[in-house]
Amino acid sequence: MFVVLFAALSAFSFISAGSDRPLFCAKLIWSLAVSFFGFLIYRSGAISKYRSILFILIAFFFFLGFNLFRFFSFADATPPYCHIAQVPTLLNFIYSQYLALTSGDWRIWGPLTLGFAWLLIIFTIGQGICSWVCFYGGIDEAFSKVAKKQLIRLNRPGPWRDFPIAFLIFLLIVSFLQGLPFFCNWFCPFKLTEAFWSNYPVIRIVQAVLFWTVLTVFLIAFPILTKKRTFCSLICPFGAFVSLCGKVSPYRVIINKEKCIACGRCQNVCPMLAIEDKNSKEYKISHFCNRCGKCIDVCPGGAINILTGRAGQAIDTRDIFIFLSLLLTGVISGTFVPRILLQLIGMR
Amino acid sequence: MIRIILEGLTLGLSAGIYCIGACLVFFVPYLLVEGKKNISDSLRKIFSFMLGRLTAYIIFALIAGFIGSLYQNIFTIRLSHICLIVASLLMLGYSLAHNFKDSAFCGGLVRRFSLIRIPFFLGLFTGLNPCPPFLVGVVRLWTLNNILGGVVLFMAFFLGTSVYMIPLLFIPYLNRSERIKRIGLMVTLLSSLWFLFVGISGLIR
Repeated sequence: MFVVLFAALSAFSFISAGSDRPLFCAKLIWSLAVSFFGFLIYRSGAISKYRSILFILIAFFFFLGFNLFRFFSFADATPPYCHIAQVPTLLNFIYSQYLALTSGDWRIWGPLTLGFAWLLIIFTIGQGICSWVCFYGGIDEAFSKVAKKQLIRLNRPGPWRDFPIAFLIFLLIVSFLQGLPFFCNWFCPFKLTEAFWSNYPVIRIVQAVLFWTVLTVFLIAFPILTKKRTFCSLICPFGAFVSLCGKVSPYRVIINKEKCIACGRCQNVCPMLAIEDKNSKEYKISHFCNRCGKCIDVCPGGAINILTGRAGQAIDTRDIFIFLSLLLTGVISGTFVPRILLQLIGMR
Repeated sequence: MIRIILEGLTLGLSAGIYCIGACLVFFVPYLLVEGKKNISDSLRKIFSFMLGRLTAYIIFALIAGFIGSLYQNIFTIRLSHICLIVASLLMLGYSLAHNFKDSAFCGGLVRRFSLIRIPFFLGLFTGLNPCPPFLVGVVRLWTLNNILGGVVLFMAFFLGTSVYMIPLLFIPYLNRSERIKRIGLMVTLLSSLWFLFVGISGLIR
């Protein structure tokens, strides 16, 4: 698996680097690193431990390259196309495609763009995208690991767990009405450019209040206090979209009721508040689960696994899922991490 | 007159897609919360909403016709923002009352909300909000110099935009569980807070 993963990522590196040899070497080193994490996961059997390190590492590089580039005087720090921004502006995108189609100008008709690539990833590994590929999620995960113990107990999902879905519906409507990326303008705590700040003082103050609230409360304070990924589970509109579309993915985390001893450890460690229970007796994994593997690692009876197929006839597809997730993680992170590595050592 | 009817109709048909964002931002979540699978009940609510919009347009066209173009900017901008604030406050009260319906005060409010015809008032106040199709219609209205023509223009505009209301018939069918209702209430709360902000900032600018 390790060899196949490295070979696949190397092929991608060769194609994407072109004739740029230093970049190809950096990509090759990064491919080796990702594959090595895959090797550690297979060898230890612990999915979440090594996934988490890789996930946070990618987020660190992303943050370094696109948020702190001013401090390092990096050249060419163009932010990548943001997947979180894509979802709330989906209606705008569909409408623009409709206008392009009806105007007959096929040059601006672009359904086969990155949006399609993200959809393909969602259909493949489903909600796994949020715990393996998303370079923003790693920042949330890093803060959730700061405290040793949970300082505020927040394990059982309440009615507010559905807030991201409501938020997504609201964003879709308002973004369409305004013709603007409403989430980026008002809420995004990962703002990579300053283009979203309004020139009008009152609006700018409200924007700043919302930005700092989401950043300090949901991305920093709550993850530290609760050890949960609160931005991802309570705010992120992309997470809400993926939780609905990801149902088509064949890979599911399922609890075997016969093996389950109802200890509740899975619910306690789930960073996404995705495990529901009936009076602490019967646990069920909701569609918000993003296959991070934490519950699988802590389950004392080995009752939780990644399966494919109908209940009773499901087959174990854990290894295939991990391979696919690492492949996609390597490909997506391979578009920016190697370049930042080169910049760090002064070769760019 | 036929030209005015055609103008209003084509204006409604071409720009009416924005009504999904502007007029329906409150009504869709309301249908999610209140909608029943009973088709006649849904139809009654949708017609009540549309009647509210029609009333708003006719009243607006009449008042605009009588006042004339002298106060057009103050009248259009102020009135549309005030209507937006009223609609937002109505839905803010509605969503808060439903969210906290277990308390005696909010429980009483919920019962009162069920007595008043919310769809009609929503149609009345959201019909005049500062959305692109409405503002385009208003610009044409000021250049008509004809009270009856203005009313006809807005009635045709109403017919044109009403085409985009057809999907509303299917919204109540989404209401299959308490969870959907809860999400609908959250959307209502978010929308009402946002449009309250838009209304107030529009007035003070």
